[in-house]
Amino acid sequence: MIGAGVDTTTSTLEWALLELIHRPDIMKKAQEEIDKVVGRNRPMLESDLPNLPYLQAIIKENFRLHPAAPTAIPHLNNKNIIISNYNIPANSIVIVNLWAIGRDPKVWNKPQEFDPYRFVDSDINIRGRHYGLLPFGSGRRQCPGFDIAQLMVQYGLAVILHAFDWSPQPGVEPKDMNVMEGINGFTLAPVEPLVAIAKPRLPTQVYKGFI
Amino acid sequence: MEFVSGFWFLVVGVVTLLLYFAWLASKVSSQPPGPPNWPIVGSLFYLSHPIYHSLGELAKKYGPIMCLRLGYLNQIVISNAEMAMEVLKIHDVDFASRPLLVGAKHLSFDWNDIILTPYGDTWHLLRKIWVTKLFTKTRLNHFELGRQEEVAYMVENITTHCQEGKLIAMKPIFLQLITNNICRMLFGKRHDQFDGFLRKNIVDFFNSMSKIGVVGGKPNISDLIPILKPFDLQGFERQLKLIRNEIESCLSNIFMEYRKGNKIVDDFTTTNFVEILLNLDEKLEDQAIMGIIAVCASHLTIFNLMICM
Repeated sequence: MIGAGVDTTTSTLEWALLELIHRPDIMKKAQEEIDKVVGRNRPMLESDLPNLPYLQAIIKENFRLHPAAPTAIPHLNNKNIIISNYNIPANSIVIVNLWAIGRDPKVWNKPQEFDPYRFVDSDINIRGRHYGLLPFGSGRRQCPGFDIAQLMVQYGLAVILHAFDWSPQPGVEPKDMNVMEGINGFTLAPVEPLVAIAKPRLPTQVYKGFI
Repeated sequence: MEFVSGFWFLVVGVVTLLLYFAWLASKVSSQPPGPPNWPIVGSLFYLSHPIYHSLGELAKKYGPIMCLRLGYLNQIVISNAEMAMEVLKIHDVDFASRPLLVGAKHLSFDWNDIILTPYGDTWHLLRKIWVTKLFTKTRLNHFELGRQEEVAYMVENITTHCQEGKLIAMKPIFLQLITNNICRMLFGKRHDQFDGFLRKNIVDFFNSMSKIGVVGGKPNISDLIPILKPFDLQGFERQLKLIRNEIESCLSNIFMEYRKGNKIVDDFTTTNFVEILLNLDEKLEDQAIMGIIAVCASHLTIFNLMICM
């Protein structure tokens, strides 16, 4: 329906699957969790999502490394404001570099590594209260599409992990996949658009039950 | 005598000048640190692609709060959690507005969307409608069945590829999932469940939205140097207006169809945003409704348009 678009939710899903194909050990753990909660005999439902803490940790880790809006949406102050002894003149455009904050070594241990375990048994959420992880911003200008975007990302990722095993294109080892950002400046898309091979992992009748 | 008064004149002049420079220096030093400013272009030379990366490198040198000058814009860059809390929590209201950029003006249908509209009465009204009428818990639950059908379509789509043993390009698959979900929320059904006139306008609407996102996301020199605005050197505003007209015409046609007949609109049976918005007690102008519909369809696309050159 739509050709090329700049779409935040889409690129979030693309990144998450790319990181998981890149790290088969993490994908396997996510699928084990899903098998334990959902089983292999019925399709995934939205009501299963709260019971998948490891999947949610993966999504947080994905947002930390690949925030869909890396420099957030610019804020603006109408009057002079003093912040930690600096004067911010009125009408300054204020950019919060979420990408840099997510990789700050003072906050994150081994910041370049994709490691969902840092969010297992942690109370860090992405609702804008932990200032080291703000994929949807924070405060009154926080992304108003938070709930629906979260739902679509969690559900979409959970379903494709439940229904398929994923591998890179033939001839490419998972560890050799490129997890670098593209350089077109305004989106955070992978440098190479993700192509993958899918293999069904559920009994045939379950796929019919999806519709 | 003449020599002496000339001498004192000079001394007073030099002292005044020195004081002026000292005052200027104190004024400058009270702003956050940042790379040097060149005339007109400011700190533009210090930026490269990708922008978040180069800003991150600059922050290593100048600290978690930096000041950059881009053309005539003063830009503050925040790069750690502590400073982010200062801006987004402690001074939340002070920094709650948005810059009046040319792209944002058109993407928001003249400041009628909840994301790009400056802080003020319009924003508060939009926020209220958004929270109490559109994205309520009840409404999100209503759309659950639709989301379930859409993941089913996605699985079917991927399965077809599997059987042929093909490599799958993932982006189009995800784009379809998200777009179809949004289409259901805005218009009540997936685009291919509509017929003829309405279907054409809905498909055209999404295509134009995708175009306006790409164009509006490009840097616009008139935003950096406002004096150039009337000349629109890159044809930026002209292109945006063209696409905006397309979107307005699609949405007018869609609204016309949804206005036909007497529909009962309530929190339980109404399943699309267009009908809800056309029947609000607040009686919004069509232009404002277009802004709300457009922002739902576009997500955010112009988050850093003023800094990528």
